[in-house]
Amino acid sequence: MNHIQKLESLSIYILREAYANIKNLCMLWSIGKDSTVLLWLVRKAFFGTIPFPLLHIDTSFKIPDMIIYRDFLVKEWKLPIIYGINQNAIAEKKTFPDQTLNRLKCCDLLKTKTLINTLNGKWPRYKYNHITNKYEPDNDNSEYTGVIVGIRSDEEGSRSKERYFSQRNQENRWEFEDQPPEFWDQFNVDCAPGAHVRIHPLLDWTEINIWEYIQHENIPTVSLYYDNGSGKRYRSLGCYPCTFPITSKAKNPAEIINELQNGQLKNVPERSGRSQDAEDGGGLETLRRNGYM
Amino acid sequence: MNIVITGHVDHGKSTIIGRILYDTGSVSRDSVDRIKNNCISNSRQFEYAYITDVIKEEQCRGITLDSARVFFKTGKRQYRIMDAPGHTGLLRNMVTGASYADAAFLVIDAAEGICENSRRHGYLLSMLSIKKIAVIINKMDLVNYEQKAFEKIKKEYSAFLQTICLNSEFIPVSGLNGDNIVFKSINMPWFNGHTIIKTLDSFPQEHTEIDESFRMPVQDIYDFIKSEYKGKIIAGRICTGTLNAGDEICFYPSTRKDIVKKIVQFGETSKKTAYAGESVGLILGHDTLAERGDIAAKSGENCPYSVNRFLASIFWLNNIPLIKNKKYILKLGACRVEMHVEEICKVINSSDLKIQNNKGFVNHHNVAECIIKTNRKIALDLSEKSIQTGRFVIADNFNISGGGIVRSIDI
Ligand SMILES: Nc1nc2c(ncn2[C@@H]2O[C@H](COP(=O)(O)OP(=O)(O)OP(=O)(O)O)[C@@H](O)[C@H]2O)c(=O)[nH]1
Ligand SMILES: [Mg+2]
Repeated sequence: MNHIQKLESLSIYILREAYANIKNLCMLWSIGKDSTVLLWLVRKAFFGTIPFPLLHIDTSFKIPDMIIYRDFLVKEWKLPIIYGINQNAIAEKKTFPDQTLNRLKCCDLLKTKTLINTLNGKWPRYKYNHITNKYEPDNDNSEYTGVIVGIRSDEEGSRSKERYFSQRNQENRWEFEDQPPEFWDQFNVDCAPGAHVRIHPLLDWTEINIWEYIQHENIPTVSLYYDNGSGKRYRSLGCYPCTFPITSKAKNPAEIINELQNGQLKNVPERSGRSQDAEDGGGLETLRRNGYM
Repeated sequence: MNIVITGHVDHGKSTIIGRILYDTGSVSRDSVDRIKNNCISNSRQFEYAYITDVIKEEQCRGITLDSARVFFKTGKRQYRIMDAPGHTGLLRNMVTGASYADAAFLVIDAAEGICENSRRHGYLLSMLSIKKIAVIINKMDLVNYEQKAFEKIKKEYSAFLQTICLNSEFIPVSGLNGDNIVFKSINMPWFNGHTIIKTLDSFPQEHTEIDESFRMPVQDIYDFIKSEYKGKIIAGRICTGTLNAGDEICFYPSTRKDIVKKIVQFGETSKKTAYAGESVGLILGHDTLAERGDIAAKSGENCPYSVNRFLASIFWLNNIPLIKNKKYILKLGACRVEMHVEEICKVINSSDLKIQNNKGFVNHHNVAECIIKTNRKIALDLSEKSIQTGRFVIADNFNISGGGIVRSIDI
């Protein structure tokens, strides 16, 4: 087996362990390249079936192409999907783009708080109906006790210290120095009532591995990652007020891999186009301790 | 290849990794400059260790709290390095970091010499069955790069490694100044061994287990309604051996047998052969009842045991001691079963290898031999025969608290 095949096999193993052990499971799908690779792996792990819902945290500030691409794949692959959103903050204009909050606080309200309250079922969820082709209020508000997240350890410092299965307490906090051990492919799948488990099947993948896999498997990805003639493309996707394209002429996965290995992006951190990280002293540590993905 | 760096607290593990990354150009000047500026604004001295000790609290306290994964490449291959913490209270994080390694470095401070966790980490590496170890004697600058200091520690630590059936090469380095890490040291002309990077590239490639007997723990049985596959699919990852379509397999402990009709992978045509390491799906000839936790073996090859009582060597990582007759959960492969310790035969202090007098409990950080009783029969192997199906973890109150390897079933 080559390196990518080993990574694929371990990720599938982790996904199957999560499904076998956790009653109410969902998977975060941010529309980005990592969680789309994860979605591909889920289809492989369960032979084409997606046996749990995908959850998208909408902020209303996502780059519009992302939402178009999301709903295209939802139809194409018949994906079970729900989304959550912080309607109050948006209606009351408590956001960074409305110039009433800084970036960190905005991330906290639109993403972290929304994630927490969508997972625990306290805020409304909207579910895609494949017959009417519309998102409709979901009357299931049971709590998710496990959530699969496509983070990678090479993305950012605090993510290099994650476990494959990581417990979050009632307040959603990550007590990273008190994590129980995890070894020999045995995971801490149980958790106390009110707490939940985050599952990280992509921890060992690097950014280059992700692109190698996308190329090898021919995985459909949103066009924003590629230069469409403007000489610019996105390396990492998020909300448009805080995420900026880089100057690059890479038009396909092969050219992106080359740029990462030998070109201008060699050793340049991936999230350098994300402004909220800079406000946290160059990392996501504060956000992540409080429940950010 | 997966590598772990272990050793006593403050002996310089993170510094050495920082050096490796810096001297091989695996981190950009930019990111190092950013860390340096951050240090200036927090009026803290720059340390190479901050490249992996990224958490604010780690930098304030000057110690690694949890294992970090970092990636880098040499001309020869790709590496994932785990930087393990050396503090005694963080042994569980060291085990987490070390358990996935193919080879390990163990760092000893030349000035301070062998300490509690130098030996304890060595011992745990042997229990984690990591056979390939190299010892790094760090901070040679503090002993004027003298050969005498190096030889003394080398002699003493080799003797210790021998008692646990390991041997190792020794490399004198200075993480601070970069001697013998990526570049050969000019301060130690008396040393004609390899640098750390050369040693890394000389570790033999991890062997694949395709020649051993076939073992696959059953992870799940899928029967999705809308699936394009007809019938049930047995899902699992092959630990060892190879499997061909048409082979007869047997599930343990039930000993039910069936023929493998197809080996399926989504989006691809079915395979003729699957090998150790692959996550696969099996469609059987007669839809035989298997369950999660069973171990599948191949008829005609040697088979696993089905037992409810066995002798094991275990290590304990929880602050609450392991005690006799209390209910715990044992997890081996995909099997999960209630268990208790029937007898604690021997307790060993993992740092000085002294045998403890008490036999009523096992304190955290200690190692023991004990008889384990499960409340039903499970399938397993002896660890010396088949490591992946011969080891298990013990969970107490939601958390994994210890690990063990199966020594014998004749008790
Ligand atoms: N003089 C000298 N000091 C060193 C050398 N290597 C590391 N140090 C210092 O030793 C201290 C501890 O280094 P770390 O790399 O943080 O040690 P560690 O082994 O990672 O420690 P833990 O992760 O907490 O167990 C730091 O202050 C380093 O600057 C060396 O080669 N020479
Ligand atoms: Mg350290």
